[in-house]
Amino acid sequence: MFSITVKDDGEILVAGRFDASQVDVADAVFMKVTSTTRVNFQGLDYISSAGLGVLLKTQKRLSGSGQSLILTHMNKLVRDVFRIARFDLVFRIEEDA
Amino acid sequence: MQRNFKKDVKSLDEVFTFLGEQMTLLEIPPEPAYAVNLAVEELFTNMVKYGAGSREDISLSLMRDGEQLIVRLVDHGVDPFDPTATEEVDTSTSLEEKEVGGLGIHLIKHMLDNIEHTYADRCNVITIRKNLEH
Repeated sequence: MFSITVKDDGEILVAGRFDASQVDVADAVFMKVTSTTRVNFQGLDYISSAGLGVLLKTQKRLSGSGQSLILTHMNKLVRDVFRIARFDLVFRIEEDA
Repeated sequence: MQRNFKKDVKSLDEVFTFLGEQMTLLEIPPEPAYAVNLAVEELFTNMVKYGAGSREDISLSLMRDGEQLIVRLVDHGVDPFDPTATEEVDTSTSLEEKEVGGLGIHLIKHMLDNIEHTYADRCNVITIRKNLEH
């Protein structure tokens, strides 16, 4: 189960399991992002390389115009995947206070 | 415990349900369970992409041997393909140079304790092992 929601203020909420079968659903939302946007991972239990690919593609596109994704509220297991992929070097990841 | 799944990315929901049920029964903690979920997804989707010559189901089985979880995926009726033999991706490059190709294999090589490929009777067999104690 995966869900992706865009709040009124533009923040994107992702929840559940972001796997290879959800790429099209997520892509449809991220393709519309044109400015710096916060992505809240609070409800996200799982991400694989397919999900990382959607985020990377968006980050690359945004960086052309000096914009970026800011990733927040990541749980430890998801954070570990970003670290092993060295994606923590190309995304701003806000740690929980 | 073994189960067969249709060779389609849409099978992932059923695959995760099966893995979840089995790993609960086998009392696998969250960190190794995450690693195994990710490894199975990456290997399963590889088989969907590269084993398209055959429409036969993919078999998935799990067993616990003491403090080790052993998972096996079998792709039937296909040419040899060893996903572990792919080149390591450079994960330290800049954003512009970063690519997703090979990332799945990079992740599972780092998250598992062993991954082995064998080929016999037109079947690619991948066996992965995850230690439950560190």
